Amino acid sequence: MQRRTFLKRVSTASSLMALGALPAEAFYGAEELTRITIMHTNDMHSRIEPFPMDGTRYEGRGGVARRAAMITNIRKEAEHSLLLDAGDIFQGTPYFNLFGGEVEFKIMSKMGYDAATFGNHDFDGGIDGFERQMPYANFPFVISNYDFRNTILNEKTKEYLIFEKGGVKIGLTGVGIELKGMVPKSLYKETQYLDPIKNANRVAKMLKKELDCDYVICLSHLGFKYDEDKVSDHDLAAQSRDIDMIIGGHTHTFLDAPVVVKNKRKKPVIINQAGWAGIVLGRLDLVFERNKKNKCVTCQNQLIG
Amino acid sequence: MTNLRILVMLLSIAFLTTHCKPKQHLAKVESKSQEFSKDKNLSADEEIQELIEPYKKLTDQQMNRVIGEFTEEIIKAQPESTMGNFCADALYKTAKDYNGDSIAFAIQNYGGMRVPTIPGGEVTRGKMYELMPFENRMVFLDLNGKEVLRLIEHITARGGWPVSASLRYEIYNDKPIGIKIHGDALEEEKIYKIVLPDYIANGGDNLDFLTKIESRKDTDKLIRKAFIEYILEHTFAGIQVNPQLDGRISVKE
Ligand SMILES: [Zn+2]
Repeated sequence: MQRRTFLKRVSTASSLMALGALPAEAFYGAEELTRITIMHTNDMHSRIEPFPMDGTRYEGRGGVARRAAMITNIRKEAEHSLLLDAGDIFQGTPYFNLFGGEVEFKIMSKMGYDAATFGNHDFDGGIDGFERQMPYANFPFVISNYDFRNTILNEKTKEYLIFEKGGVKIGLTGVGIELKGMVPKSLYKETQYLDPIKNANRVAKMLKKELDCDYVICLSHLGFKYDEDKVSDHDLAAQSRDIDMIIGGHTHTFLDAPVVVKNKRKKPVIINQAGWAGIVLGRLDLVFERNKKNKCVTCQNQLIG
Repeated sequence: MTNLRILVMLLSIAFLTTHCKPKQHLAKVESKSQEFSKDKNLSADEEIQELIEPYKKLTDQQMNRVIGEFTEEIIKAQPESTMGNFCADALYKTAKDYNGDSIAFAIQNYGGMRVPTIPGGEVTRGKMYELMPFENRMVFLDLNGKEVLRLIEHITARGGWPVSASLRYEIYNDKPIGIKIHGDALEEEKIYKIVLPDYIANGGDNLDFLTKIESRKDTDKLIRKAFIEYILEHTFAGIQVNPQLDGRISVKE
């Protein structure tokens, strides 16, 4: 345990102790369940309005105004929730060509997004274009494998974030896809792409071991799975140790249910993705049981229902 | 409190926090992803609607203008498709008008087309922004026959990219065979002027070898503008745009 966390805990405990001799059970009662609702999107691609009614595949689907209403409804019921995005917010409709991302960020801010990571298309207005739009985003950008030190985004993104929800400490990190060959260098400039698996593992380990997180989520714009030899969410999951959930993007994958992949410790990692264009709002409810035993009483083998 | 008492207390708290620390076990996960647009009772969020309104007005003003008509729905597919043929033929036509030189062929990267279909009937300027949202520009490259072959091998390995009607070939065991340019077989030493988006010429999709081509001419012409002008030309001539599959890329069993 890190010294600072320890001291913080001691001081809280001491002040409680001072109120009277409380038995340990009072702090940590029997099983206590906490439900945390994770809502997520990916590859929104500037789809502000629903798809037009023109006989094409997605006609009438999507649209931010109705998605916002749904998020509000979910929040009314869910005491603890997070709203996350896995990148490619930009590019795909004239809203981006005309306004450069301002509309997308303003809407996401109003919807109350907690964090987002970078997709390749988020560089389409150039790294400078992204930086110019950042003031419209009231939520942070989290990424562990883009080194922005020699760019305008230096110190403007986070390697990780920690959210405390109903006594559960959730760590969040993010990974992005290799930009070379996909995005012109003139747009991403001196951004250095680092190994996503190595860096996500490094940050996840820190979140679990040093920063005391109960659960680690990784936002990913690597892509769901590939036939060719290209790093994907499946690879990241299989080669990870401390990541519990991957919220993916890039491959525009619609899933009927999340996929579970065993990590290096043979523990399950949940992978989910919500198609694209904001057609689907991804949602996973995590139920945590808090107790002081080593065994979980209500656990259902992480059954996904 | 004496120092000893404080020490004992701290130690016992330390014991409590480390040994009896409650753990958060993940008991279950419920998947509840939802397509909200299927919920007929869900109305739009008014604040968001208000936020969008001024932007929508400006966007509609610029994008809702009808520029022409497609005879039928055009579809994005591989190795050859009506959408791909439209894009590559439009680029080829614009390049010819622009350069005057004889152009061997035009090529468009498959992933650069950003909509799966465009319906038949009226087409708006905005639709062309959706098809080609990128600010990609037209580039001319002079390639020798060997380099042309390498490029065609690359796009064949990728499943086939849009090419103009002036280029025809067959795919056999994932390799291009019988390459013909303007009806003539590809010659290794001959120089061919090709036109393509700067995205590819700059090494996009790992076509790094194209960045080393010395004879190159960059232009200010946006690829999207080439598409729009191609449609407008049809409209001014009083005809619809009617891209057809003509077997320019075919698969040999
Ligand atoms: Zn992407």
